[in-house]
Amino acid sequence: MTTTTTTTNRVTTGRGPALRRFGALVRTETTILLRNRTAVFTAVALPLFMTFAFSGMDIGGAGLGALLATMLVVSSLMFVVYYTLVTSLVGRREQLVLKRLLAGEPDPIEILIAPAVPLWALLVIQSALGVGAALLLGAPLPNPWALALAVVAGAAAWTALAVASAALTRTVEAAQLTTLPLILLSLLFSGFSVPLGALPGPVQTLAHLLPMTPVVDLVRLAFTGVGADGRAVAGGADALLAAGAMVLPLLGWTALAMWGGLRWFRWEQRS
Amino acid sequence: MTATDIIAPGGRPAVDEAAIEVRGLRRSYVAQRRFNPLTGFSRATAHFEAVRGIDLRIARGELFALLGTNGAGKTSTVELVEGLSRPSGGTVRVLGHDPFTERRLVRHRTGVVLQSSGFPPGLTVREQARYWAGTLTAPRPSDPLLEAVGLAGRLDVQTAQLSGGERRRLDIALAIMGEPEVLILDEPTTGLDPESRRMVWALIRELVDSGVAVLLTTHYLEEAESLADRLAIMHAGRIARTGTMAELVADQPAQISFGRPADLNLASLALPGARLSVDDDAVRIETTTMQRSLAALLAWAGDVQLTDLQARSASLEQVFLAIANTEEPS
Repeated sequence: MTTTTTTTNRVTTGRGPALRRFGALVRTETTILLRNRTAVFTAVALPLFMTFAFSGMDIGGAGLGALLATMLVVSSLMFVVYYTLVTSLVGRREQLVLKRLLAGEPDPIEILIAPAVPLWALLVIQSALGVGAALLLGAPLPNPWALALAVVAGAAAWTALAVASAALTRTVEAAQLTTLPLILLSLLFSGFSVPLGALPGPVQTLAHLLPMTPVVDLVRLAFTGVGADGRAVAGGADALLAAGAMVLPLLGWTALAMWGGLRWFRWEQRS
Repeated sequence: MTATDIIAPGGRPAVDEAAIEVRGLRRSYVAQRRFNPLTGFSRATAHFEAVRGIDLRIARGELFALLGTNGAGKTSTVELVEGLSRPSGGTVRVLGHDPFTERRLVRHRTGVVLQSSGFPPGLTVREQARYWAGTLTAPRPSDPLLEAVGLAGRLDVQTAQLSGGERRRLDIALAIMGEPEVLILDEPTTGLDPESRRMVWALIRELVDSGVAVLLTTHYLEEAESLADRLAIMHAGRIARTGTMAELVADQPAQISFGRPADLNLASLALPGARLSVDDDAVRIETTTMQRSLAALLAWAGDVQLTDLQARSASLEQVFLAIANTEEPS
């Protein structure tokens, strides 16, 4: 057997190599995730469990269908995207996988985002299940595009928050603790465990700036056409404006958390 | 198929340009922080300087070994050259670029073997190789490469099931998969059996012969002696000594030792330029002119049989220990 030495093109400008590289990272992350039965089970079962546990709640007059969809999107973001990503980033750091990648060609942001991609796929599947169930239950869906915004902007914000949380988490065990504040805040102030209307005005305003409340608002806008303040929004431009005001805090969280995460991220566990 | 066919990448021209150039490099770590409960930010209150201003220059086709006692700053130095962390002071240039801020210009031309393999769980050797190839700009076919490092029969084994030596060889195969012009090896043969070590040495030599610049750290002095064109010994964050093997041992004396003979008078032994010391029954001579001292010694002994007679030229170990035993400058 002979080996021919080919002259390789050693230029890395352009998007080609970066995309191919990112694709390879995503492919492997997906393989690893699918082989980890516990992780897959948790990722699939937790949102379903949450949905059933909370399905007796009432969110601002929306029917059961809309509630199911909201619950699935919210708990998918929290447990599938956020929690799973924090633990997998911290785990990869402990295994020194991140350090190996950093010493290689992938950029830091590619290394941190690649494990999120299969989780986004799970989020989309579960959200689609929730919406399907809602439609079967006869829920109207006047603004379907707001649902897409909720999933996309929510995924961006909670992925970035996961990177930031992972930066502040030393061990996989500690992740259960470090992820708790955001999960609790979201459960309390997103309007489906405690009705936001029951809270004092300033607290309500603050609640709408948290990273989960706008997601709930967007899903509700999609199903009921009701704005963040609980009043009906006329279709067209008004609905777009209302949705824009909900997306803005999510974009803010994405930028802030990603900036902090990249800045503080430790690629190797220091004792 | 021999390893030679696989490893030598179509000979690059050896240009007289530094592959790695390090100037005045410093790296300090935060040793202690104070947390401010009001602002929520912690402030560094104490620093530990692991690398205290070092200079290195490594040419293409050269193997440079970085030795040092534990905690001397080797790994910190290597991580700075790898571009894993930002220097606190000084500059690093790899192939003319800063490996930390200009990683896109450098990474596809360097290969790294870290002390830790960092293989993700649950992948086989073949999958790990395919995965790594996917992250490279211009990967070589992995199967011949894995065969060259003796892993051809282990392709479907999980990386977690590999022996320490196999894992190291997979590491090295991955590091050279992108045909690097600069290869950084951080203790590549730690934990390897002698046979695996020879295999790795042969691989490294071929790479160097083909024009690759190699920066190697090792705990094995014989590894450095056998492979390195030049070497440096680090101690307490600084380079204590650097040069070729011959240069390093040049100012160290050779040693002659023998059992103290009962029926000879040591006072009548004249050895110009040598130092003689007696320790109970053993006599030690340190000399810079071993042959002359030996001749004088043998003439002095005449017909008397000297017991345990040994003569050794200066060794790297001797240089290393001399440095390791010096007080840490603070």
